[in-house]
Amino acid sequence: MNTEKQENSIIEISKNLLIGLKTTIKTFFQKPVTFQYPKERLMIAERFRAFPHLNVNGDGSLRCVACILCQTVCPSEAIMIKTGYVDFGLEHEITERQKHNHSLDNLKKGIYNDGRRHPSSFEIDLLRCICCGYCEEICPEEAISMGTDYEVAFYTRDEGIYGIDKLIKSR
Amino acid sequence: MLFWLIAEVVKILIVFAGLLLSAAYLTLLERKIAARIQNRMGPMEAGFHGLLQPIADGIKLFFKEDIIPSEANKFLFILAPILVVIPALTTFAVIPFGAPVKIMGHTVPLQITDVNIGILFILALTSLGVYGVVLGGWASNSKYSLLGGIRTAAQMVSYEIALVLSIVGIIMIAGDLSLSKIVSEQSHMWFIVYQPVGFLLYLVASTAEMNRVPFDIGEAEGEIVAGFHTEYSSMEFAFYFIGEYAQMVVNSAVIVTLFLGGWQGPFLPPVLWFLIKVFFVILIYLWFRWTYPRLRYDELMDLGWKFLLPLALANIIVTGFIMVLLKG
Repeated sequence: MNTEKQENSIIEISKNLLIGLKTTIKTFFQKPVTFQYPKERLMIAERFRAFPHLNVNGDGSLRCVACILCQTVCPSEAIMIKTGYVDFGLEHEITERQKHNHSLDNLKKGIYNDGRRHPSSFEIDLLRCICCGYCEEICPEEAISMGTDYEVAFYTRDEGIYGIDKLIKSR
Repeated sequence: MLFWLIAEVVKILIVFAGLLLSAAYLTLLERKIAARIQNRMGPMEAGFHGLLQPIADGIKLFFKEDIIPSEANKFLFILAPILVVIPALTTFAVIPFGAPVKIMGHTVPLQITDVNIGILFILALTSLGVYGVVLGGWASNSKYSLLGGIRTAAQMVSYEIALVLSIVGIIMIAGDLSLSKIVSEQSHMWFIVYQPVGFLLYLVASTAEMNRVPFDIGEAEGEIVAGFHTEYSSMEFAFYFIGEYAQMVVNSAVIVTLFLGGWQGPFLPPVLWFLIKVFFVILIYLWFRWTYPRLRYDELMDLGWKFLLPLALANIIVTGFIMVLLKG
């Protein structure tokens, strides 16, 4: 390695100084690469994957059948499902057992009765979620899919746990 | 007599207000140009493209808590920023910013006072600025401030000499110390043509004199936090800031007066010519600032004493020779 100090002549130095000035004036007339974030946004990629959300049928009823597959596959244990009522249809006569454990109390009026099981509560802790997409892959009913909303912020940790309503609303 | 008094007061008010306003808006210009050079946008939120940013900054600084460090010398601590601002503002008093105008039969020169030793007045006042910095650094009772103050003092004293000597060529050609005479001498040809070396020397030395970035070892933020104004906050900090930018306007105005023909120019009104030229010199200062990195302390001293000073002396000798040859 050449350890000798490079001797710079005045001509060399002033040439370099002028090169510096040329560089800055060139960048001065370039377009800025930054953008005004809250007003302007970057186009997100087509296959961008943020947090999961729940899908609904055309009439607004949940597609989820509370099979617990997503909760099982979730590597960060972010999903917590409580299996709720089994929906037998409007004409169904309530059995003694169902009367006893109130399993049909959650059934709202006018909901499409498909004779399927539904979750009584479906929670995803967005602070634990790593957006891996396993839940979307494994879901047999296409009830859960990955959204595009990357601007998620909370005041407390508890607000990071999204219930059914928030999961349906989020994009 | 009464007319003269009113005219003087109006002139002083206009110059003072214009200087303060331009100092405030220079901060915006500086930020915008820095942003463009770094491919950013700069302030965009306050007003259209950030046009109200200086006012917002001023209000913010005005309402901030005024912190004076314990064991600091309170009197000097408050006095120091004022010592920076007042010489910077006063210097403009001798600079002619337009051709004399006739109002109601009186001829009013567009210059606050025509001192017949205008250049000496400017040099004397600009070198007073060093006291504000040194006193502020010492009175803060902080090691960073003290180091910044000492460095700045050494730097300003060394560059003062090159600054003064770079002007001597102009004085020799013009044969007068009064700034209005120097401007009228340049009616045929700007002095930058006769004194290109002097112009470059003055540009570099005045940048060092103002502690602007290639020579800002006094407030080197990577080394000594913020140098002499580390402990300053609120309006006292704002005073340092105003002083720095007012110095920039004044130095640009001095360059325009000495080298670029002052207010003289075709077609446009003289005051507009003056403002345009000052603006362009300020742009050069800003361009320098956002291009070059800071010099090390020894490099700075080498540049001042081993390069600028001999060059300035050689410039004087060559100018003298050529003048004698042309006359004889």
